[in-house]
Amino acid sequence: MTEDNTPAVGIDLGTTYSAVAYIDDTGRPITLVNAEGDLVTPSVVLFEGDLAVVGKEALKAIATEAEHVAQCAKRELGDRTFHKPLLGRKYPPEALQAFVLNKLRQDAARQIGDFKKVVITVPAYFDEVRRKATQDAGYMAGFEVLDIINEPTAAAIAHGFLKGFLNKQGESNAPRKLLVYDLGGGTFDVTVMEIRGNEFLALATDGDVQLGGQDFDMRLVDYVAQEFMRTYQLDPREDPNTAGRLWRECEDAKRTLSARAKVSISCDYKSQATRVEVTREKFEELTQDLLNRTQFTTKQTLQAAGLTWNDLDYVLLVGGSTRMPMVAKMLRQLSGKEPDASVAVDEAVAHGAALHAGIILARNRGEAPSVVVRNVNSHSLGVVATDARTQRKRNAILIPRNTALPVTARRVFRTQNAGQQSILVRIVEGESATPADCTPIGRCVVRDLPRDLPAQTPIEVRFSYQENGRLTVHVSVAGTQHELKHELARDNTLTQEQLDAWRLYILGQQAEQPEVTDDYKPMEEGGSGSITM
Amino acid sequence: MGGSRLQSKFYSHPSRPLPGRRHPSAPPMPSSRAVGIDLGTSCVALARIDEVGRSGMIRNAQGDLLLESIVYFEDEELLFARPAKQAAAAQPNRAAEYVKRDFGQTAYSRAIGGELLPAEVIEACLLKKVYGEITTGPPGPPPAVVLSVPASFNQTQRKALLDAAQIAGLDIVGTINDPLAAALAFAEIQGYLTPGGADKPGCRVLVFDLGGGTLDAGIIEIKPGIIRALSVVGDARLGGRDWDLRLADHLAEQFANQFGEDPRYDMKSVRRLVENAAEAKHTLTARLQARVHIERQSHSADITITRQAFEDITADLLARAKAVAEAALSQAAMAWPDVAHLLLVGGATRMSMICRMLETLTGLKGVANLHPEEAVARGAALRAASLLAAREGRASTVPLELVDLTTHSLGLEWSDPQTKRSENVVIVTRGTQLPCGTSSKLATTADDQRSLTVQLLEGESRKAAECTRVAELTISGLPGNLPKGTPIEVHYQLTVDRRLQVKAQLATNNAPLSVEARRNLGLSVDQVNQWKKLLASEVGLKAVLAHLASHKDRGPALPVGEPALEPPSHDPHEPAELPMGQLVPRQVDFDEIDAAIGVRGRSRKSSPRQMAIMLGGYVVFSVLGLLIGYYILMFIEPSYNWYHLPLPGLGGDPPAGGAASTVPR
Repeated sequence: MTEDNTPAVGIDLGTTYSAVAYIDDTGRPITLVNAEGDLVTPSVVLFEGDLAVVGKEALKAIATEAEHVAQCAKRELGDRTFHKPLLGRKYPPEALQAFVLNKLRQDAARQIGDFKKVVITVPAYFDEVRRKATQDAGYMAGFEVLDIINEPTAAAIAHGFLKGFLNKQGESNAPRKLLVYDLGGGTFDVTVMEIRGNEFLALATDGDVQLGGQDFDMRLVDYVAQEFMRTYQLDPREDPNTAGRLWRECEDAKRTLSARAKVSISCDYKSQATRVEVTREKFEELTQDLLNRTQFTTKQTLQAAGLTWNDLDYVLLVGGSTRMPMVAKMLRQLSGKEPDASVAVDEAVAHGAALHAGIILARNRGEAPSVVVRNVNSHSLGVVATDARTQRKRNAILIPRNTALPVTARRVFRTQNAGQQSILVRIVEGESATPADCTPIGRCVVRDLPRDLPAQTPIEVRFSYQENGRLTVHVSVAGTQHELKHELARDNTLTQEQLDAWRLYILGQQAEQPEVTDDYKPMEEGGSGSITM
Repeated sequence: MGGSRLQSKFYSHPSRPLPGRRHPSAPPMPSSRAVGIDLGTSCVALARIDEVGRSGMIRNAQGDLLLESIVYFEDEELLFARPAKQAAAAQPNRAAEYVKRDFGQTAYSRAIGGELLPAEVIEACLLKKVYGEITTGPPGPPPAVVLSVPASFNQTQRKALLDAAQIAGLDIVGTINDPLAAALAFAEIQGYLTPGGADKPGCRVLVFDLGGGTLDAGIIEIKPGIIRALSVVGDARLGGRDWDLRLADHLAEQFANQFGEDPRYDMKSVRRLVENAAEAKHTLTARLQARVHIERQSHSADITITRQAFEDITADLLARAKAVAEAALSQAAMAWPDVAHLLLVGGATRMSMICRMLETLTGLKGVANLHPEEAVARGAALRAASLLAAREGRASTVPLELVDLTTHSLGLEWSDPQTKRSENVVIVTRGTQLPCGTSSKLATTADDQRSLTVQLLEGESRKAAECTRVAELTISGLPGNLPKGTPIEVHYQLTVDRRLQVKAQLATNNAPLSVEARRNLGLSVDQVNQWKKLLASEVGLKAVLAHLASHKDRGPALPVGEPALEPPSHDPHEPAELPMGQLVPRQVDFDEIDAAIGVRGRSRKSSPRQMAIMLGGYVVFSVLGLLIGYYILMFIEPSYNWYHLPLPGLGGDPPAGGAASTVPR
């Protein structure tokens, strides 16, 4: 197969819904419909015997067999196993994501032929751990993941394409600044970006991985359940099937409230039934605090980018939940601009990912890229060191957040004790100065140092952070030949053997499900030596 | 990326025209206003042609590709699609769905707000709503619409659909049959519509369109420049809905067996039951079993149904579907190896039993990149583009000719003078290529006759009573003093759109005569215009009922056969005034059980005469039975002849005190 025939495919692997897009032969991104005829596929997996059913049917099964259904696995990426066993088995969250990706791959292949190379998107707020997990999920689904890019960046690319920033005429456009407000099913992201001609630069990004359309659904569920309890003193949420059914009704009602002013939701449990009428005002009242959280984060991010509302050219809406009228209203009031939804809100990210895939493939073929994307890291990266004065452990930041990537940063530390034989470098991610409040993402040890190393020997630590989020650590000890290069692998990672085993299982080439263990291989234990700032 | 061509050409519709690159070989085209509407029984889909000439689906503000064909009548406004479904769950008697099945009948089969509404009007409301969504946006010339029509629709049903479109205020440039539309969409995917496809070899496809309410099948030949139907057959009363209802029945019976209460007796619970059954049907496509939650009043249960059980209870529906596919093949006089592709159209073809049946029958699997719910709308949009180009005097991107076939025989009613029976004399047989023309000869039946009438029928039966009455032709303007038996020639012309044009002339000197055609069923032009005016503004149930009430009393219809007082218009499509008393009787459908009427099934009132005959019959037969029994008894045991009846074939009185047995030694 020649390079020319490789389709450029992008996948928006959402918390609640996923979408696939590809670039057609005129260079336009087109969303691919799945086998059921829908543009978006629910990211839900149902396990039934030996079958893994993904999509709408799995979503429906929440109302009847909730205990066999896994949803919102994306929220648990980074954990070792999904919070509940399914059919008695435990699954790593990335394996569940892989089942979803596999279905997306099969449905897309029916229309454009077999393909392996793909770009997958992640929320901008995703840390290194979760990005790697997403990449693993892609691998287990039989993909060759070209890149992992941020969802707001993808959305901005899609808009840029639509508005003509990406034509090859090379007109110099005035730099545009935009804010991408992405409220999806499970996560919320806000990013301030600058587009200069064909360069996409992220200025600041923030978000909430635990806030999305589903939370708006749950407010309705709680309200209806409370009304039910008031009448019957029974809580319909106790039974998982009834809770599932109620949730589906509330989700439908939420969508109807975007078009109509009121809706009535029926709820039945233990042969008692009631109908609760909800108006749009009531719904907005119930979810006001959720909206306010997004508003606050949006204002903060704009500030972090050093801009005001007047500096922005566009405010982009991304994610199905932005269809709620209150979102547009809030943004209109906040920014003074009309929010832009000219690219369909639930397809924009997939389109951008497909465009990005096209760029990478073009680059691999030796063509000049028509778009340059520069990301920023969303969390600060640092090293745990002991403060010389206070003798307390501190997070010494090497790469502050919102630094454009790729970047290399170095900092000099010192050995703490005389005669230290090994040095433990602990790498953490987070803003706080207290290491306990940060996420540990790896550690490395320099061993067998010369015996007579004096205290306060300088140690240089160099962080090399790539575009794709891969971090490499160099440690060198002054006066010795000892150097350590360590590419970060997170503590919780699946080993390559495990990844391969899952891949065979998910692709249906192996009947045995791989073993899942709760414990993980602990990284090198640190020696006695620690480092000082 | 130039040079290579990807297999599929599916595009979602961008909301703004794109700058930059275009397909290199397409001539520059203005932003097209060609739109195709597939007004399906269960879902509506819309497609339009983009500036490059390719079809793309239109989505509504909520991002839906398909809208459910359901209308809910609030007092002051109308609801559609999902909100209507939601509202209908609470008040089912205000919702109308699957209305397309009632085209050709006088009204939608269930009363709404106490009145029967014409099906055309309800569908017009739906059409208006979806049309309204495509016309919002930057102002420009209004869209030119092609409506797709099921192949199995007869003249009356077609007219009803077109009336609905007119009431909704659409500019219809033409219609296209569902199977042809699907074939056209397939031709686009395969590349027949681009100049580069001019030398592609032709292929023959089987289109199997199983929608919500109708089944159409046909063998269609696709060649560059021409798409020709080789056979078209259908079953206008078989669709996915029937599978839903069958499953709902089965589940209801299981529920009733368990709890003694049948959820079908309550309008709300029957609605929910059928909805859940439809969802279970979808589930059984992906899974081997489904659980359905049913509740009625104080009972609720989760009933499991397996795929196998579902297939067992719907085996007869599958057999009917198979028969249609086989009929398509035999009408085309072909064999299955001649068919290159199978086009599965309509959501119901996703059912695994349908795919398996077709694969076993034809050896083919459905084409993977043709989407069952999109194909017809896309084909209609493509047809709209080529018709629009013709109308505007432009050359289309690719010239495309469509050849269709009639699906019903057209005939004349003829009264046999000896037997006095009405017969159907076929003048255009089913399966004739369109456009077509034919002529028939009539004769006057009296001296100095000034006009004569001919009744047009549609149907395959020889008995006129079993055919549908289409229209009455009144041929007038005959010169005076013509003798009895003067021959008159009538010419019939059927266009590709199945529009009928009739001309008549005197056979002797070819002098033209006036022909006026009045349709037997359907709305009149006046009625259509009145409804159109009403729906031009936002209406609700109140306005609709008021309109009905105010237009109920009209003058009597022009009696048939009288000579016209003024020269009638020459438009053969002039529909008739709704004649009194010529209603086609309706079957009661499962889901139209009207709790308001409170009657399940029909009660038959017998006249006293019938009762008397029945009673007399009972008496006679019971006496006869007794006699025969007595007779047999005598044969066996003559001593039991208590009544000493002189029965033939037996002896006289038996010997007194004789032995019980008279077996001769």
